[in-house]
Amino acid sequence: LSRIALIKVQPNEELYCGVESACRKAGISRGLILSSTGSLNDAWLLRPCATGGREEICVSGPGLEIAGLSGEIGFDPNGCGTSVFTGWVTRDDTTVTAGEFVRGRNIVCITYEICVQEWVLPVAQAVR
Amino acid sequence: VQFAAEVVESRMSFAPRILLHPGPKSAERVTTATGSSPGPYRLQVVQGADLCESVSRWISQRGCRSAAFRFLHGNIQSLQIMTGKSDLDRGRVATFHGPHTVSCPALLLGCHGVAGTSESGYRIHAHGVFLDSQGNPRGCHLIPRHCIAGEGGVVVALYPIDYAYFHSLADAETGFDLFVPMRDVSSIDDVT
Repeated sequence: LSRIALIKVQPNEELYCGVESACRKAGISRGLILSSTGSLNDAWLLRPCATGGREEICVSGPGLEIAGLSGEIGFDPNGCGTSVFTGWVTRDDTTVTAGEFVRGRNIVCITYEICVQEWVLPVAQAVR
Repeated sequence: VQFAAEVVESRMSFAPRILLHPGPKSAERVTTATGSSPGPYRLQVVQGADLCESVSRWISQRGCRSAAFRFLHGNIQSLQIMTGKSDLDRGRVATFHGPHTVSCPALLLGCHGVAGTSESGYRIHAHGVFLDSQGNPRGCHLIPRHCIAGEGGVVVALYPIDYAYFHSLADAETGFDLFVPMRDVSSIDDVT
């Protein structure tokens, strides 16, 4: 059996902070997102740009639904969050935008519900 | 896949928005309950069956209160979804908007959900993205009884959860009924 943390993040809390603080509380130092649903005030996403590197974009809400979010939760040796979340957000007309959620900028609108599975197996350092 | 780039506001510089909700702010900002799962189970929703109802039926038969799941891939023959919309003019930050009918056959690109309990039985909360029959990605909130599997069905990865569950409760802060993680009081051992 593997441990699963059920998490609810309240409105106006930041996405990464909320999930990472819940995982700390549950004693999960590395986790895999199994499923999640929720909404954001506005969505701040990183996307690759044609000229190289990545650009930060904002999709204006409120009430943007997170249509799918994947990623992992982790912490560096100092306890700072290193999680990375990618996914899709949808507007009221059902159109979709995707990217990597920007740390510190994605604020929960109504709720964010997430199930995190603890990652207990050794993590590969590099794979070719 | 083409994204609606024309409605993306690029490189906006203002700080993240904090919005005022109608009810009192709850003291606990993040709620957690820890359980365990023997999953994932691989399920297949057969053609003609509703995705949300199939998940509800399976977890009911298994006898658990909650599950995390992903609809992984498959075809959809009939689909209605809801989206979120600003409701600032009427005192709430946001509300549901729709239903929106998605042109089918549609292709499931990905869908996440959680199943839990409410006063009236099981409740499913699932968000997904689908490619409509015109090739456009569409999302988001699945409406139970209005998301019907198409030819070949839909494959699900489902994690039944023991010792903890989501339960739907009235949230005074937002004015919505929302899932809250709960410890399963019938459990003997604390798995944490």
